[in-house]
Amino acid sequence: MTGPQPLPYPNLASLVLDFPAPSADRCALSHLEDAITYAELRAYVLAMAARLRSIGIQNGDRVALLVENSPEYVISLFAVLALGATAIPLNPETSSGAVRVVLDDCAARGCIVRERTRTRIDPDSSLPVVALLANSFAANRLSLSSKAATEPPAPPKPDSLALLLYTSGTTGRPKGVMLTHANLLANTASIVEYLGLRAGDSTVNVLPFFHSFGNSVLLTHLAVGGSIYIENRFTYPSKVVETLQKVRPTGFAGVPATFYILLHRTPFLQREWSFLRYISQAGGGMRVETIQRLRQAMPATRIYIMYGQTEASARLSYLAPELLEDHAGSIGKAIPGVEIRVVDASGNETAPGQVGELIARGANVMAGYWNDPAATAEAIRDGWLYTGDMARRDADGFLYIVSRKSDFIKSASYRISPVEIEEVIASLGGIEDVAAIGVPDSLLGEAIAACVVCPHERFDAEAIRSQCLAQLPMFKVPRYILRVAEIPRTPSGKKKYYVLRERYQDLEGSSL
Amino acid sequence: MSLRNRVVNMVQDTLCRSKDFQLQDSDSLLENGVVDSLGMLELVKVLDTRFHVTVEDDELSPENLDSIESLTAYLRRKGVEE
Repeated sequence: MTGPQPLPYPNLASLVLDFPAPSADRCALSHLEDAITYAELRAYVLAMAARLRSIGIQNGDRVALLVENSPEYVISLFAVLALGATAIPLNPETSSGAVRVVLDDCAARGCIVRERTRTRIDPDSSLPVVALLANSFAANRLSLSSKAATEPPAPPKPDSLALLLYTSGTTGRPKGVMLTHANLLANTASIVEYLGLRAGDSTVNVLPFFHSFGNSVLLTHLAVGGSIYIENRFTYPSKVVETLQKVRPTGFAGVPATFYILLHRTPFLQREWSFLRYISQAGGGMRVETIQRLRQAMPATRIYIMYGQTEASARLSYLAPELLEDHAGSIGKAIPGVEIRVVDASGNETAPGQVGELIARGANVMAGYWNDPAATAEAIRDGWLYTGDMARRDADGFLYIVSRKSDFIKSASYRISPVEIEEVIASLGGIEDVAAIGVPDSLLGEAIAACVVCPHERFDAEAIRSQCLAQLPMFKVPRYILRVAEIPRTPSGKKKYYVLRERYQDLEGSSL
Repeated sequence: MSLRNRVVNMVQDTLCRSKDFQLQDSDSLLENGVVDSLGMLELVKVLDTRFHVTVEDDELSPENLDSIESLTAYLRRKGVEE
């Protein structure tokens, strides 16, 4: 295993606080009409850190970020990191109840939230807030600019916790993935190396920063003095094509749905893309047909297929663009600084072609799950991260994901616990049993189907859907709600999700 | 029921967590966090089932879909009657 060239930064905060002098006047972030240089970003981060310190936030504290992708998100994140505190980036669409669960779980001091987000998700102002941001960047910029310049706080230690990223747990209770400064710096260095990122690079980012993939796009670009244009209008994908054509970035990252939508719902194929040096894809397997169409649309652009997990800071493997043709469907090989094995149930490495669990180790692997030693011991054994993904390795050492060991649903690159959805549906009266599964979907990877057992006269798909809409974020609301005779179970009573998955694998093409 | 009110009901049923709908007719659904990419897919589906309107790819734009006002005007242009 060869490690990547280490970055010249001792901690994550120093990506923004200690950038090299030539970066000072370079654009770090832009969003709509706003642009921020590295020098400005540093000043705003220090001002925000001073504001947080003035209300008592300090080294070792935990602070949740409920902010959509924006300059304020980046400023808040690095302010928390600069203080040696731990940031907990959350989807700003999270309901106040679910935020409360996270805050209680990790004993966080409170949230940084924008006024309009608070009005929407927490109209009673029940959540503790450590910083309330104005709705416009102009107002926040003014407020931060008026603060006197301050010196950086004492730098955080590399092994201190930088981020707690909450993911679905098997029991439905979210699990906090603990990532240290060293974990994230190691992964950032590796990604920078294999993508060949440098100071002249730029990207238009459509991925949420609260997600490990979007977070890695942010960190890698700041690490090299690159520029990030924040584009939040993927809801209207043609706007993203317009932005890409206007900004002309050197790179663009997406999940399979990003590229599928761009290819099928925008004038993407009629545009010229030679300004893009590379595109990168992660967040679930992308259809080979989509990759081929991208290659035709952008013959001069390098296409990186990547694989990883939040538990690995983001990335574990990639397929080099020049190997795309010969190893279609592969997730490639381990990234610099990471070792990967495919092992059987006894932990022995499998022979080429045989399926086993993909395990990995490297400096990017998490410190564990917050306050959950049992789950940590299950995931990390003898220093190896057990990913729960079943894979095979071919004779040349290229890896292929075959299936997931767990029953998680992977939709739109989110990992979703079926239990969470089932509990919401089961809370309705008249439901005898329920199982949520992922079924193949060309856009989302998997769409969610809820299989419900209840008497015919009490089955009300609309009521179930309303209940889910009221209590779950949109990406967890089932697309299909099916009445079934029974949920198949093992003799010990465990749900046999795979039976349902197989039975309903063709839902997309059906008239449902 | 007026077309505008039918649009409000559709947005509430499809996208809103609570029935406490506070937006003005001209407020952006995107900026106010009412709709995201997945929500838009749902909205496009519901426009088809409730109003029998197929949203063409080049119509998937904020000018047509990003507020109660623009949605109502879009449906009128597509021939949906009051």
